[in-house]
Amino acid sequence: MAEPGAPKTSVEFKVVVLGDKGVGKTCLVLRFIEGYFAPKQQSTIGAFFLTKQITATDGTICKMQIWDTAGQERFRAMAPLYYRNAAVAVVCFDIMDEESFQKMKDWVEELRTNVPEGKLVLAIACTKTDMESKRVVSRARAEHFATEVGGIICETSAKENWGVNELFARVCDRAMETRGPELRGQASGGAAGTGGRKSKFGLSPAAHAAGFGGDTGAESGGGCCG
Amino acid sequence: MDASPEAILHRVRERDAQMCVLLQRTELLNRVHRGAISELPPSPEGMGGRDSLKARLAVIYGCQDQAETVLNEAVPLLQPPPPPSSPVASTPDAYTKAIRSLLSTPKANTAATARSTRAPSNSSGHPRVQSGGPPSVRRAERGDGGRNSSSAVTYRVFLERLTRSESEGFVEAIRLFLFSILGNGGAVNPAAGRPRASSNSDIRRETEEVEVYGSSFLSQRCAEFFLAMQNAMGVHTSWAELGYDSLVACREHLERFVMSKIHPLAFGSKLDGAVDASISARLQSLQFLTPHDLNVSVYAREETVLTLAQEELRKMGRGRCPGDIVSRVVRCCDTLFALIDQGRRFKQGVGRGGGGGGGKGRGEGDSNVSSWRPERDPAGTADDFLPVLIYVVLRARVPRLHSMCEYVQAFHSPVALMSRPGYCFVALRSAVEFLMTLNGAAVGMSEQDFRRRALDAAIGVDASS
Repeated sequence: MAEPGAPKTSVEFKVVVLGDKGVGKTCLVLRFIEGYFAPKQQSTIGAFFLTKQITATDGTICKMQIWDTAGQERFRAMAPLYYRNAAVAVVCFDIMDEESFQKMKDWVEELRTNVPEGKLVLAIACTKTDMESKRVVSRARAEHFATEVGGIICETSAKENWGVNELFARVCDRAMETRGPELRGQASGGAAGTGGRKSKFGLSPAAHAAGFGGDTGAESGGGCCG
Repeated sequence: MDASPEAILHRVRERDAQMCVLLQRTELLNRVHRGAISELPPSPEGMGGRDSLKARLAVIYGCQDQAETVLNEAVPLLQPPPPPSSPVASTPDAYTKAIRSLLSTPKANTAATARSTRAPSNSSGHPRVQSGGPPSVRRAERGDGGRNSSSAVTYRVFLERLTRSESEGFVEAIRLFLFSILGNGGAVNPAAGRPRASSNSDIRRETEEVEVYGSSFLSQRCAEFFLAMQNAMGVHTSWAELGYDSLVACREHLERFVMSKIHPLAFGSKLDGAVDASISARLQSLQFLTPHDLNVSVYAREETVLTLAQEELRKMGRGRCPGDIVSRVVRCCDTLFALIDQGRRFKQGVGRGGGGGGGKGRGEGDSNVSSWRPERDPAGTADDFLPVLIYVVLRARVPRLHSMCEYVQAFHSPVALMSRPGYCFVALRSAVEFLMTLNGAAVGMSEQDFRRRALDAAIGVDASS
């Protein structure tokens, strides 16, 4: 049954951050997160896995589970484990480094080969754009590539805090546009990978609100794990 | 009877789906019952059946339309279900009968039963809670990071809620689900574990007719069952109030509860001795690798701490439910993060110019300095973390590592596998993957040298063991 008076919808999805070593993946993510986590939490969490909640334009609350990955070449083969079940991939390259641009293309190619069409929102982050004077990868080239592969592209600088929030906001909106209903279904129970038969338990909100007090007489609950 | 896997899966799913509908019916009736008994004036005379029910519902919901809707939903549910199309379920289903008889149990009777069984249920329930539950649960919650550390229900609260009378539908569903997996000889234990059933012999007798599927399609069935239960809790009068985070937690508690019962069977279905053995042999042959070979950051080469992390990782094998296993991995990873964090700070204190000879991981750390530094230095990035984890996995040589990973992958909640514990778990899997595919070039030695050393390490063990 539909949920007419549902207060708000929230979804939870996975964002994987890829890119060559040294392009500033971690900095990008930390800049995005900073101010959200209390410092004491961050000390144990590390910079490899972070969560941030933002509201998409359509009002959906998106809880992003951001997975940073190791950039070293020798861990390349393990990447599929990381981007598996991700809804969004942010692929980074350093505008001062031609090689990282090529690597970024490889990543995009790999994602397009391994992830079924329409399952993944692709975003390309040009990092370190504050170093405009040392730029070697022109904006036009990057944009051309992004259009070709149908990805979001964003010029960012973690140092100056340019474009970082914009990048993630656009990513969220795109994810809602393309996979919104699917993700919403998942958030309520996480049916990823299962056949996805959803039982219909929707009862009217008024019914929930009726809130009859429970009887106190306890049923036996069965033993718990022994 | 069609015995192809697809047909069986279809039947199993149909059965589970039916049970979910019944669950919904229980809740609906609970609502009607309670309203009728506790809050309503006696029904007006001359009104029977449907009209009377509708009048009562109208009082509950304060609106005729609403009552009509609920009633329309409820009435078909109150009828016996239409004969299912699947041939196997042509006789009235035991699930159906059991829950129907549950529904028709008079209120007073239920209450009396509850009273009479209260003491035994407490005495049998509590010690178990203490032995198996809270300590590991608390850890699991902490390991869950930002998700639901503050307000989510604990395992103990979850069990307590299950014992309330309004949760009887859930309890019954869980019991039948377990029954359909373990069968009569399983740990479902109608007499001991469920004293209430002994007073309701109808239910018990009928559940014995539940078809037993054992481990076929177990992981799909579990996933669907947990999801259905979470959805059902989400609209249940007394569970829905817990809120989203707690419901997610409840799903995990339910998973813990169910998996701890069916662990031998579920784990057995994922046990792959051959792969486990090949991993063990491989790890054995790689024991010659040093932290330096694996590019472990210099500040993370702290043997005492690494040994602690290994110990944590080895405890994986003690976990029975996926959540427990993963929480061990998380603890191992936490130890490593703390180590990396400490090391970095110390190094910063001493000064940055420690020479360029460190691992590759440190290389990136340094290059970040030139662009922008987060206000707090990260407690270790993915680049630092993976090499040290690989080293720990290599040293810990956890038995049955592969089977355990497969078990977690198959039965753990997908939501949990997407969040922080999931990250640690994936890191573990990728560490194993790395070690299995490692060659000489990756550790900076010639292929010949690498093979020779691997052979030596392998033989060394054969001789000693």
